[in-house]
Amino acid sequence: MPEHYSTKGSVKVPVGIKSQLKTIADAYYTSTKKDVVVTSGKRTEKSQAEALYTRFNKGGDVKDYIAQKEAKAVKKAYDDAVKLKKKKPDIIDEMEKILKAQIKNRKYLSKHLSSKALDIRKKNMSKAEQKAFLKACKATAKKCLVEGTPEHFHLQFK
Amino acid sequence: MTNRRNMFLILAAMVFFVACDSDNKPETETSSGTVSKQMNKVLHDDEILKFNSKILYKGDEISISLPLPHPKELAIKSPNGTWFYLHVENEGDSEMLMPKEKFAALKQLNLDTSKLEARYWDNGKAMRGKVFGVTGAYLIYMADNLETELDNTLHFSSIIQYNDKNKQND
Repeated sequence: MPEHYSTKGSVKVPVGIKSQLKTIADAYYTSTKKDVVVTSGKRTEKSQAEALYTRFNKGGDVKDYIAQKEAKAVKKAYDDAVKLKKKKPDIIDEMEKILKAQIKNRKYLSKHLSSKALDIRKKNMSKAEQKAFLKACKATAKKCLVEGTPEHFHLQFK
Repeated sequence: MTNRRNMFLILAAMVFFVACDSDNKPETETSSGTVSKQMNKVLHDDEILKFNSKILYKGDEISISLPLPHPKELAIKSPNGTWFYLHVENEGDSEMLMPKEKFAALKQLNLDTSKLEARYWDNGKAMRGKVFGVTGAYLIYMADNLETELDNTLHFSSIIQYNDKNKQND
């Protein structure tokens, strides 16, 4: 039986939630005859640290992050490493260490660091299809949220 | 005792009316509790993306100086909330301004407000339309991945003001 989901680019679906995704995608397909597109899945600490390095290096801050405490801790690691004139790979390593310590304590700067989150394309769904998707999602996932920016569905699993 | 009973009846009636009212409301994303708290955040980094001007008039060109490296994708949110997808990877020519390698190396992006068209989505259908058509604040949003939360992707953003009228000469 074919899968009723595809992934955007190189997005990886965490192994532990593949079967739940399949259940949701199959239910959505049954009511709409359409497949879903996974736009984001598992994020590694390394890629998160690299993205934050570029953002901070270009003058960006953490004011728009939900997990303020965790984001500020990573920013501090960046600032401290810069003050010590460390090189880029070493600065990223310091930031990654903070992210790993946070994850160990089940604190996540991004929910995608948890291996329990997925984003699903919303823009190509009609209002009726969105409703069908939410129904399928709520029957399986722990949380089904509409997030921005731009809008997409964020799914959180147990 | 009578007063207490009357109070109870009034309260019961209020609960009943509220319950009926809620039942009649169509289910929206807000009422079904699916909207995240990040949804309506106004985000913008004033210093990262640099513009020739942040106040634009009909026919003006926007020139955006981009740092390198910069995020891979670009969208603009119009004042009425429509998202225009200008450059999205893996979506084909209809959502790309140029080949992705060229965009990745781009240091300056020039956009003509009078001509710029891009893809947007209306009730699940892909449409194409003019980006700058109404007066108001436009969010310029760049991210490595437009379709995820901003805390899950490298992102830069800024807000510009567009006036859908010709600039008056002093």
